[in-house]
Amino acid sequence: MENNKIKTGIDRLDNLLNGGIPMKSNVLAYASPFIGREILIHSFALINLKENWPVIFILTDNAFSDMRNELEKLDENFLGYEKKGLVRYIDGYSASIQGKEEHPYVEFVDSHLDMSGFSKAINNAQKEFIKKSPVHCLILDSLSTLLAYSDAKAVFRFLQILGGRCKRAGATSIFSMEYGMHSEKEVQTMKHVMDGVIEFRETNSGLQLRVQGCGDVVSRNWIDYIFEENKINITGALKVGRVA
Amino acid sequence: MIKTGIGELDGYLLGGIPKGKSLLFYTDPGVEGEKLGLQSIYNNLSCGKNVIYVISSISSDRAKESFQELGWKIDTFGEKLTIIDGYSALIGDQTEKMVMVEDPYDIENYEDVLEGQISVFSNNCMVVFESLSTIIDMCGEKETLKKIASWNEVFQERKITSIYNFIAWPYAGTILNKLRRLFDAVIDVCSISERVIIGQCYCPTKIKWGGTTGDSVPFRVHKPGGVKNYIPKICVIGLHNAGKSSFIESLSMKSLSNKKIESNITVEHGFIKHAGFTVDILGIQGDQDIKSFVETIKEDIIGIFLVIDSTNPSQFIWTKKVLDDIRLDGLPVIIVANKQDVKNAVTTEEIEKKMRIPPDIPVIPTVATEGKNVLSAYEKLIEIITKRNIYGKQ
Repeated sequence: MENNKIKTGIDRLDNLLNGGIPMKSNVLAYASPFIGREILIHSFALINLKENWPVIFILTDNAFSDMRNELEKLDENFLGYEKKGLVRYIDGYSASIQGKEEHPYVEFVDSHLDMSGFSKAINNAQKEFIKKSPVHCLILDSLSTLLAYSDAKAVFRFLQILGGRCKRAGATSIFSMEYGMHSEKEVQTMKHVMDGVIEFRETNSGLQLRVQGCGDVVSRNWIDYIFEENKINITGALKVGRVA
Repeated sequence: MIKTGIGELDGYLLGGIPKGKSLLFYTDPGVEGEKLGLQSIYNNLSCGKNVIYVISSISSDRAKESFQELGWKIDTFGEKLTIIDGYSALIGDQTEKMVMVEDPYDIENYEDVLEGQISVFSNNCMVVFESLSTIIDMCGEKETLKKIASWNEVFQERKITSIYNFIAWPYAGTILNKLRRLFDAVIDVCSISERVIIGQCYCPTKIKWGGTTGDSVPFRVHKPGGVKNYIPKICVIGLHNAGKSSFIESLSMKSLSNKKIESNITVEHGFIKHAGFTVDILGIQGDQDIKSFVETIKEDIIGIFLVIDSTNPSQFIWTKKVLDDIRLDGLPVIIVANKQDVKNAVTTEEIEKKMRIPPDIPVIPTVATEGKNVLSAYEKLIEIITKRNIYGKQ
C-alpha cells in the first residue's frame, strides 16, 4: 500500500494511477466483454490476497465455483488464501440455475432483485474481515446483471448505501459493468455514484483504456494497451512527450 | 385484534394490530425486517387465520425456505396461506404458478390479483407484502403510493389487516415522508452499527390507535426460533481509580450490584432505561483480559465506554491499546475523560492529540462523582449506534 493506494495488480496501470486505486474508493470497471475487464478483476483480487488482504466477491452472472476455478488457474496459492479465510463469495447467480453448491466461504442470494439480501451478505463478510485486516477489497461482477433485472434508480440507491458502507468498513471496491448493454443515462447514473472509472474500449486502431476520477493520476487520456495471455500490457505512453 | 407474535411488539401495539389497520415495517437496508413479517404470518396461520403473502423480490420456493429456516413448516397450513407471486414474471420464469401477477410492472395487475384472492377468503384474511420497495421500483413511486392509499382504505372498510415490509433505500425524502403517512402504524427496523452492522432493533414510531412509541427494542433472529428480543449490554472499561464505578453508579437506575465473577473476570453491574433503550451496564477493570471477555459476550454488546483518569497520562497508552483491540470488532466506542474538575486534568483536546484518537471517536469530558456529563456520554453513544445509514436519516 503506497500513499494509501491499493494496487490493481497491472503494473503500468498502477503507474498511471500513481500507485493504485485510492484506498476506500469505489471504482467502476467499464468495458466491452473479453477485452480486459476480467483481467483487472482477477489481478486486483490476487495482488491484494498476496498482501493478506481479504477479498469479497459478489457475483451476479457467474457461479462462485467458476470464479474460484479461474483464480486457482492463475495463482497456485489461491486455495491457500481461501483456507486462511481471506476469501468470501456472495453468489447471486447459482440459485437462478438451480446450481447451489454448498461451500464454507459462500453465501447465496437467491434473487438478483433481493438487494437487501446482498446487503446482509456483504455485512456478514465485512463483520469478519474488519477483524482480520484494516484493509479489504470488494469486487462486484457485474452491475450489468443487476441493471438487467431491476430499475436503474433502484440499483443506484443500492450502490449509494453499499458504497457508503464499504468506505466505513475500510473496503476498496471495483464494480464491473459491460459496455454496450445500457443506455447513456444508466451509465452516467452508475458513474455518478463512483469515485472513479477505469474504462476499456476497442477502436479501429486497437484497444485503449483511460481513467476518470481516482484522485491524482498521471494522465486522463486514452492509452493503448494490448491484451494477450490473460495479461494487459499498456503499450501507450502515459504522458505525452515521454515514452514510459 | 391481529397479534404479530413478536415478543414485546404486541405490547407496544396495545395487544396487536386492530382489524382493518395497516402497519409498515420501515427497514434499514441490510437488516432483517422481513423476518418480522414472516413471524406475523406464521403466528396468524398458527391461530387458524387466512393469510395472503404478496412476494415481489424472491421466488415462492425461496419464500417457503425462509419459513423453514426459522423452523416453521408452512405447508401444513394448506390453503390457509396464499402466495401471490409478483416475482416470477420479472425474471421471465414461465412455470405455471398458482397465483401470479402476470405484469408486475403494472400496479393495477397487482390490485386485480389481490382483489381476486381476498374474495376467495370472503375478506376474512390478513395481507402481508414481502417487499413494497420492489413494487415501487417496478410500478413507479407515485402510482404505487396512490394505490396503497386506496388499498388501505379498502382494507379498513373490509376489516382486513395489512402488513407491508419496505426497505428504506435512499428514495427522495418526499416519497419516504409520504409513504410513512399512509399507514396507521410505522415500526422502524434499524441497524445498530458503527463500521459494520452489529445488531438490529425495532422502534415503534407511529401507532394511530394508541400504544407506546419511542423505544428501541434490540432483537435477534434465531434459526430456528424466529425473532427474539434481548437486553443489550454496554461495557464500561477503565483502569483502577479512573472513575469507572462512579460512572456506572451515576448512569445506573439501580444502585451498583455487588461485584461478581463472570468467566474469571470481575464485573460490576448496572442498568439504565433512557433515550429509548433499556441496557445492562457491565463494568470491567482494565487490567484483566478484556479482549477475551468482550469476545465471549460481543453478540450482546452494543457499545463501549473507555474511562480514563484525565489527571493520569500514564493511562493513555493503555487506553490506546485497548481502543485499537476492541475497535477491530466494529463496536462503537466513546472515551470518557473523567476527573475534569481536578486542577491538573488534561483537556479533551490534548487527550485527542496525545492519543491520536480517530476523529469519529468522541472524547467526552466528565466528572463522574458529580454525574456531570455522564448522561450526555450515554446519549452520544446511543446517537452513534442508532444512526441510520449514512445517506438516510441521521
